[in-house]
Amino acid sequence: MGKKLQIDSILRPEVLVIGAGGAGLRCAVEICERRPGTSIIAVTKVYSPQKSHTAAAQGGMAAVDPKDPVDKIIYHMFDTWKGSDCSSDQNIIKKVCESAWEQILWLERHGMHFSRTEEGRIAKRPFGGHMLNFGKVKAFRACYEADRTGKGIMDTVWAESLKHGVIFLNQSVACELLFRNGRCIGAIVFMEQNGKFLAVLAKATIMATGGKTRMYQVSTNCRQNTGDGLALILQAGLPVMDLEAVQFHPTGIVGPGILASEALRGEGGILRNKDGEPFMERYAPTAKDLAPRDLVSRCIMNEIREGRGCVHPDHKLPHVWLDLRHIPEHVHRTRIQEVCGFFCKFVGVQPQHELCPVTPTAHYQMGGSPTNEFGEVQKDAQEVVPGLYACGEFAAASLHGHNRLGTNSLLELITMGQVVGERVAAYLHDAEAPGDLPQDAGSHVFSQFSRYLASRGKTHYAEIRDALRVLMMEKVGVFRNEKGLAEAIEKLKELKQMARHMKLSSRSLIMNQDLLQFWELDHLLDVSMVIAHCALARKESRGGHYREDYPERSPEFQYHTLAYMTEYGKVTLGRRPIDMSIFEARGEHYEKFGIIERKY
Amino acid sequence: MDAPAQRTGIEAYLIGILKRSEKLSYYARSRGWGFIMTWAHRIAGLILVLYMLFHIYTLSALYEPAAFVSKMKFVDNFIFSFFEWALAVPVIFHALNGTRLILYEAFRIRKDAIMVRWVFVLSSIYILTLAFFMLMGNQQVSAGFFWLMVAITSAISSTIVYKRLWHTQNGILWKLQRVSGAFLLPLVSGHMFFMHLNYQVGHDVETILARISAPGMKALDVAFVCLVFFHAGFGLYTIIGDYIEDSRLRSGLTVLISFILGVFAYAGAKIVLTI
Amino acid sequence: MSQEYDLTLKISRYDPDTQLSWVQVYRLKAGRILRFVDLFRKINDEQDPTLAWSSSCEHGQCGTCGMKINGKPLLTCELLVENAVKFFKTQTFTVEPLTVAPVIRDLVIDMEKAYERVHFVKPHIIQPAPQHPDGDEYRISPRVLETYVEATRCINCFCCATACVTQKNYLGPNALLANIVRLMDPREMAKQERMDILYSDQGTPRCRTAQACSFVCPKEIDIAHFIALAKEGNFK
Ligand SMILES: Cc1cc2nc3c(=O)[nH]c(=O)nc-3n(C[C@H](O)[C@H](O)[C@H](O)COP(=O)(O)OP(=O)(O)OC[C@H]3O[C@@H](n4cnc5c(N)ncnc54)[C@H](O)[C@@H]3O)c2cc1C
Ligand code: HEM
Ligand code: HEM
Ligand code: SF4
Ligand code: F3S
Ligand code: FES
Repeated sequence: MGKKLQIDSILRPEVLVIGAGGAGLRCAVEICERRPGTSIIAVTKVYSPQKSHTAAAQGGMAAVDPKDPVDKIIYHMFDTWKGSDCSSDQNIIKKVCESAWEQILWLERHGMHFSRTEEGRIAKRPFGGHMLNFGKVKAFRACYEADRTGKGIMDTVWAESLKHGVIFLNQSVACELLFRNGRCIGAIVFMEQNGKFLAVLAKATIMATGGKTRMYQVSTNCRQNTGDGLALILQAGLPVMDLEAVQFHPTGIVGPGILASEALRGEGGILRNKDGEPFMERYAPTAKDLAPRDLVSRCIMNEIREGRGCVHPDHKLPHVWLDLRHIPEHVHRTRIQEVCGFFCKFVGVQPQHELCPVTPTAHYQMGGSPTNEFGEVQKDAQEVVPGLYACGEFAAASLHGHNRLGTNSLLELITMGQVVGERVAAYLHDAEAPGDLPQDAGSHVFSQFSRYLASRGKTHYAEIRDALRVLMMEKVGVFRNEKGLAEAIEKLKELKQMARHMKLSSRSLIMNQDLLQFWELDHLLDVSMVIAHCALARKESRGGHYREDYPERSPEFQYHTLAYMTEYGKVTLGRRPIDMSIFEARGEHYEKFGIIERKY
Repeated sequence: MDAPAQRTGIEAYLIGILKRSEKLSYYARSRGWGFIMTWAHRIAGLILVLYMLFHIYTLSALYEPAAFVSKMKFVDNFIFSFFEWALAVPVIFHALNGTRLILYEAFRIRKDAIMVRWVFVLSSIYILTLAFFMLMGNQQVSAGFFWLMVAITSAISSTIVYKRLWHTQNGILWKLQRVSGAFLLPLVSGHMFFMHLNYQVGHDVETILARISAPGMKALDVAFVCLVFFHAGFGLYTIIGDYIEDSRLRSGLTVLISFILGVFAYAGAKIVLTI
Repeated sequence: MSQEYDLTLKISRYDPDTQLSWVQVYRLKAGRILRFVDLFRKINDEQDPTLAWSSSCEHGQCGTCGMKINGKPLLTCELLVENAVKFFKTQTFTVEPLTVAPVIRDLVIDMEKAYERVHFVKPHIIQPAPQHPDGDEYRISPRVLETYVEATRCINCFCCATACVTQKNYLGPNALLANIVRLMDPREMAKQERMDILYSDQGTPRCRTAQACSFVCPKEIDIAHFIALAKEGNFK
């Protein structure tokens, strides 16, 4: 093993953005607009910032137009609160919902190609969970760019950051956060394309590494969403929050895990099991196939668990059928053509004549790195880490609590990105320079990588990865229970042990996928472990977290879970109170913001 | 994945002839027929450039009619007439396809499947008619009237393109390339046609000399030779630009080409003007 | 019900450490609806973990996984085995990286290099139009939007640039498209600057209307049409 790992060079921008997705870049642009000339380096794991996963979001971005005659911001706030199963923070709800329209205008002015109404204004469409008059009728609240809203956002913030001269390190991963006296002063970055390690020392570091649900067998997340960001946070001894809250979408296309929108069921699509039985009639006799996402997901999983699911011959995954054959031709052609096209394109099925294989798919992680309302990363429920910020799906401020409403995530990442940008710009004003590279910089990542490079085991990476995915889907997925979770934790420990004896196929540092996957696997295991622990501790069901043994929400657990893990498997839990400032302010309609039922 | 393949109906049309070639169907499948058409256009253009150099060289013998006659004797055989006929393929293909390109780019005629079909149909008609006349021989047409018509059509077609393109911000030479193309379309196809209406007379030095001495013809031929060499020169210039990244080498080659083509253009103009 | 195919993949490989390139042949069995990215993963899992390939979203939405399959540039996360067999009429496929940028390893290219051309045309609004008097959004009629909305769907996968006849001294179809979008966007005021880029030596004159770009574009954008609009000098 001749190679000695070392830091190749040191870069000293003012700001380091880890994760150049929608959130990270919105933040970078905000800083540049407030403080022109700020030097910013943005690191991204993908091949170009434009490839970040924000680009895959389709539906839309929620915002209440103040000129709208019927919709009101308070309705949006209520929907979000209710949707979260009363576990989001009301100060964040207020902040995000109130500035939503401004963010839409910001995007529009910076060149996003929103779909338009006849009058040339931004068009809006209804979306699940968004209602008028406190849950009475559908609200037209989601601003959209055809079926590619996320792409529009991504293109806009990416192009704007180019304009401001943000420097990108593509195909590079942040692999260790650097601290001095408790202040974050940057990170070590590994550049995949040339195999070099860089130290980036910055006055402020912003983490926005996005989604993290690749540990599930079927997931809508991209190949790069392996929870690296959270793992870095955990390594640094910082907490993560509400990780048990994972959102599953009931109808993911088997294999690629692509979303088959609720619209299909809205137009009359029926879920069937192996025997062709329309099983939703059994579980929800009235709402049937249109029951809420989490319920439908659970029913599908139940069918599969009780042996009434099918196994996909090519992708080897369990699934049920979505039947669209009886839907009239003209509906196929006009209203659901796009989504049906996905079945055609990705699994070669003609929905008009064949059954479509679907299965619940891990979609969104509500939890993340806890931040205060300015996006400053928290050390515990009170204190923040100076110099470290977080936004986007990676962070939990938290707007979503234990369940996210569709279209609220894009909204959150843009608003919180802006909020963090504003905060950082102010902070940069009199922040000290980060100083020299700390003595022990890189020690953690180098020992990690040396271990990988020295590994001479027999186990193949894919074995562990697949075992992990199945395990998480079965035991820490849609359904959870005490026994399963405990088993999962044991199994995870085993997997981690196995991961120490993997077989590395090439010892090159340049674009070595195998090596990087070792690193990612470590993170997947870390984050999975924390999810399992958090899920075990929350002995209730709330939002995306469903415990079979405790199927009801319980007031006892009216708090956010904080979790720390510096040593694998040793998870320490803490709590953060849920902000109820709207309720406490006793303004108009305050009673709607108490502990209410989540019923649709 | 399968949709774009179906987008061009051209493929279906050309199946019989072209699908037999492995290379062509490889490109047709991976890049579409437009890609092949572009290459064919380029190759035809290059053949024409070479032919023009050769053409001016042979015409220069007109200074000494006796030499011209002996040269013509030399080429007056079956193989050479076949080549002469075969020349019609690149000529008419380049001319019609060039027209298609101009229509696509500047006149918004984007029904490409149909346009490509027309290129092939008209080309075949032209080539076959040419063969017919070559075999028949002895056709009569009033030279004055013929060339007047050609000149008028050329003027009209180039004016239309000029009007359509000149105000745009495209490079001036680029625009001139299209305008000259439009001017050449009737001229080249007419020229080729005329020379074959009566194959024997087409090569007869007396007839040629008589025609060249007509002032109207002189004017037209000078315009012809200037535009062809400009068009050829700019064509070569853009091709060079596609392949050579080094800007010094590129300028060097541009100068070289301009010089060679300039000399030939001068020689060509001198022939018609001084004989 | 599921048909298995015996596939042969001839994959171009390149090792940056030794700077050797070669073609490696992999044989594998695969079900009809596996996508090419799944095949690569299968090769990684079962035969050769060293094969490097690129993908991200695997939704056909990011443009990371572009490669040449039997010469045709396409998104490998959208290409089902079944469709490939049908389209190319063979079960043997050559897999090569796109040619728009140098290869880093195997099928992974240096996208950053390829992107330089897109950066050059400035995909943002250079100089925004004055705001609407009401202070809210700029009004764009759906009719106007319709003329260029197709072009906004480009995901910069560089398939078109790989297919094009012109490979050098050319910004490429997608970069031109990014420029043209902003020329057609009523919110952009710096039209002249954009025109200068558009008609420069690296711009439209290099396009030969080969339409290979439109032919291969996975988003089915008629790029040639937009470039022709530019040549026509009339963006309506
Ligand atoms: C299929 C799909 C559809 C969706 N539809 C909607 C919708 O309609 N409405 C809605 O509101 N939300 C939707 N969402 C959710 C929303 O898209 C995401 O939550 C959001 O895009 C996350 O954005 P982000 O900026 O936080 O992260 P991302 O855009 O994922 O960016 C993360 C960035 O971090 C980088 N990165 C990751 N790890 C590292 C590392 N270790 N080092 C360096 N860089 C790293 C990545 O490369 C990437 O650039 C959808 C999500 C999916 C998957
Ligand atoms: C007869 C009428 C003609 C028309 C309508 C015509 C039209 C065109 C057009 C439109 C182009 C530009 C193609 C492009 O850039 O995409 C072109 C290119 C070219 N033409 Fe012509 N042309 C004609 C005659 C000629 C002649 C007589 C010659 C040769 C002497 C010639 C040589 C070339 C060459 C070399 C090119 C460059 C090809 C390339 O860029 O690949 N053309 N022609
Ligand atoms: C093979 C068939 C051809 C024959 C027999 C032929 C014959 C001639 C003759 C006899 C002349 C002298 C002028 C005249 O008589 O009007 C001439 C001139 C000319 N021909 Fe052709 N030609 C042929 C093809 C072409 C083609 C394909 C082109 C264009 C690409 C072309 C371009 C010219 C030009 C530009 C002139 C004017 C020359 C000058 O001014 O010196 N000819 N041709
Ligand atoms: S225009 Fe089409 S082929 Fe070209 S980069 Fe964009 S999406 Fe890809
Ligand atoms: S393939 Fe190339 S030549 Fe023009 S029309 Fe497309 S850019
Ligand atoms: S991986 Fe994103 S387009 Fe194929």
